[in-house]
Amino acid sequence: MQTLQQQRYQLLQPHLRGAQLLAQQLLQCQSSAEDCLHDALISAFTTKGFPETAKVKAWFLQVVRFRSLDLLRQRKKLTTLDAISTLEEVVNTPLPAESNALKALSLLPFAQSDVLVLRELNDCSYAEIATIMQIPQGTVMSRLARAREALRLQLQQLERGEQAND
Amino acid sequence: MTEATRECALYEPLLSGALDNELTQQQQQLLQQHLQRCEYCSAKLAQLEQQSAALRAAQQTMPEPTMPHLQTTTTPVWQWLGWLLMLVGLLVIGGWAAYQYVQDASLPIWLKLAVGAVYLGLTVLFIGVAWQRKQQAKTDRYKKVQL
Ligand SMILES: [Zn+2]
Repeated sequence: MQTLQQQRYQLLQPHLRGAQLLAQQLLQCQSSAEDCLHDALISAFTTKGFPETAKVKAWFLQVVRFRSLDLLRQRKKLTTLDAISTLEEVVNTPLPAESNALKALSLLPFAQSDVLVLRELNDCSYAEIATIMQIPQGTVMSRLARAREALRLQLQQLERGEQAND
Repeated sequence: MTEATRECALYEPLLSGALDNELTQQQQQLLQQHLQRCEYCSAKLAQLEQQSAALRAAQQTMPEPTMPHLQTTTTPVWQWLGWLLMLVGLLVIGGWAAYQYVQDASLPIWLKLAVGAVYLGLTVLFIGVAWQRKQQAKTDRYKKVQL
């Protein structure tokens, strides 16, 4: 016999890696990201508002995102997200990543990496992204375009840096 | 890459939308027409495609997150049954004893009241503790998951 918890875990399991990457990208710290994911899982197991199967991914990513943002606010004692994205210390600590693409992603300002992680690492549709970030669906495409352009420039810069080091 | 024309900026979001398969048919046609004329945007689309593939590939190489060990805490049925039987038995015996005690004419009424008060007090205390325990278990969110 399956418990409710096991059922929910099976639904969430395919999205855990993407969710952890999201938290990691926002918090810029692997262990806080793991903590955040564990907390989100616990609330997913106990909540009465667990969504229907089709909406599980967007719902869980939203939980993880809100939790990460809460942690960030606590950490930085800031009330607005824009203020976070302007903090250089938050933006400029690249994660230890083997791939240049991930490294460049972690160097992007918060507001841009956020939407890219949802699209590229979690394979969210525009509708899902709009739900998770609580923005109008019509603005998702242009946001992604800007974020992709920023990533492209960041990647070029990284590659130039590597060539200079060689 | 060749130079961007002035209208290229307008097509920038559509390039992204095309990558994600989120364009309307009309948008697709608009973009196709522009791409046929514009080398700059065609090259950029290819570059963005590559970049997107690189990110997705990198995601696959990231280690699977370590998950909390799940532990089931549901109480088995036989345990509930045991408690239920015991409770019913106690109620029957207690009821019978109380009845006999009240009927016993050899004891003064004040002693009966005093003994009754002691038992009532014990019961209230017992229920109070049990209720507190239950509230604690409810607020303890980590009970069900071993990290
Ligand atoms: Zn163009």
